[in-house]
Amino acid sequence: MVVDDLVKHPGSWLSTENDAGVVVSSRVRLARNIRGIAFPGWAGEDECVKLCKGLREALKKVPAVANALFMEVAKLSPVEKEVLKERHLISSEFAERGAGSGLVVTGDERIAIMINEEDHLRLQAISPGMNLLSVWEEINAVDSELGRHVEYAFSPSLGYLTACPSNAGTGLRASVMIHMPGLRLMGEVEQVTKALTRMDFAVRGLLGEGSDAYGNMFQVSNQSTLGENETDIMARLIQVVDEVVRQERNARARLLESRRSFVMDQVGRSFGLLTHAGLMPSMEAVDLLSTLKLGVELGLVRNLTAAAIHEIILLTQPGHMQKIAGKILEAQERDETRAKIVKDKLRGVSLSK
Amino acid sequence: MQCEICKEKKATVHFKQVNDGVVQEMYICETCAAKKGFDVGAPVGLSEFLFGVGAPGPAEKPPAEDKACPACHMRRSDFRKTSRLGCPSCYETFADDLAPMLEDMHRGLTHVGKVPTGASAASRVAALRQALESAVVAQNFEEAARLRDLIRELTAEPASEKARRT
Repeated sequence: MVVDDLVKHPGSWLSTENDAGVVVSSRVRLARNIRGIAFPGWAGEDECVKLCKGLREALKKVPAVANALFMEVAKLSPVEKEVLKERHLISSEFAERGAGSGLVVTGDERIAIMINEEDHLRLQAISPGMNLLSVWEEINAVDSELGRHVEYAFSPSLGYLTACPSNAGTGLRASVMIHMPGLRLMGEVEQVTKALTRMDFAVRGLLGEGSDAYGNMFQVSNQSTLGENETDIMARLIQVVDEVVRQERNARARLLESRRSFVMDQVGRSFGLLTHAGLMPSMEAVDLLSTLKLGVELGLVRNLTAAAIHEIILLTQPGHMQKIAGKILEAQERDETRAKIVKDKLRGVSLSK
Repeated sequence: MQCEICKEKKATVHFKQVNDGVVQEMYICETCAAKKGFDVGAPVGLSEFLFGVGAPGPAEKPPAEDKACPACHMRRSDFRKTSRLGCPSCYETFADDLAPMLEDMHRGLTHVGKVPTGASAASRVAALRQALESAVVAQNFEEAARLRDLIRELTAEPASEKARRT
């Protein structure tokens, strides 16, 4: 099964390539629909199945995804769907779709295309670190090429037409995942997120739409998709992300300067719990690993990289753990397994004096 | 800022309504908002908020019929429930309902970004010219300027042609 192969790899977007330390990943998604066909939420099953087949054929003509993997949602098990969600390849909404919905994904997981989620097509490219412009170029090329083989639903005045008016126009959602433990320890996260909201950006927690922030991870994306062109949307986002990164780095510097023993204590406590706890719930794990990652980036931890921490976070997600274990795990079993994996991956790591 | 209705409490709710290009705005407190039928505390669907509640404007229209899209048969009431349209043609069918929503959600009302390969340049410019007119009428000068610049860009002579002429 395809998902078996996926879990064996760390997931390209988790590598340290382009790792700015603060920006974890960059993503661009385009929403597209086909002219003359009802949107997936309103169309019947037969229509969706037929369209999925047609789009799959059309995508084979796009060089970047010609040899990509294809998966039908209806044929995936709940655990496999969790794995795909954890890798940011599908959304919760997509996981609930039935016949006629499919996922096209490249082996390196850099490009993922959902067929018949909220829209006929959700084209996504994702990359580690701060890499918005090249991610945009990649998915833009896929979109342009695909557009030569299908007829998009498009209005000269309203742009690309989407199931939800909030995506009409460019259909573009550019987002960046930012890690802000410094600002949190300084108690300054809220003022930053409030400022971002006032500036017309959406700020969401690690798990995307409708979630709380945890692990100090925040996803920042554009709100508006109409009335602005793609380049300008991304330029504004890049500008604001650069500013947030500056503030995070500044907060970290201030922490080291004026609250050094506090930071070392926080890092030490996280390390202690992660290397000794017998039961490790996921919410707690992500918070502790966030602090540990801060420690790594401040030079307080030896023999550990940020990439290794990203890998631990991924492998201790419920879907991944169950897929690798080959069976469903009850809550306490999961907490036990997670603790074991964490201890194993942190062997040989120590704190700097 | 003070509530415009009771002039006592602090205004924490900003209500903006657009009817036929006429913009009404009010800054009111939660109590007066509740009296108008808008429950600030409870989450409401975007559609309900925009269509179902709030003060009637000076040019109040009778309750609109439950229009249906000729292409996909989605009715206005279906759209109100889910905030999602049925098919691309719904944008035309429900244009009046969509206008205030789009205004609220986005930075502009006209698409100025990428177009699919093959989309006719002429029909695009025509649509932009129409939008420019509407923007001027609505006194939305920033939007009008943006549209004017885009139209200029799209209708500019290519440099080679100009060189040949002069």
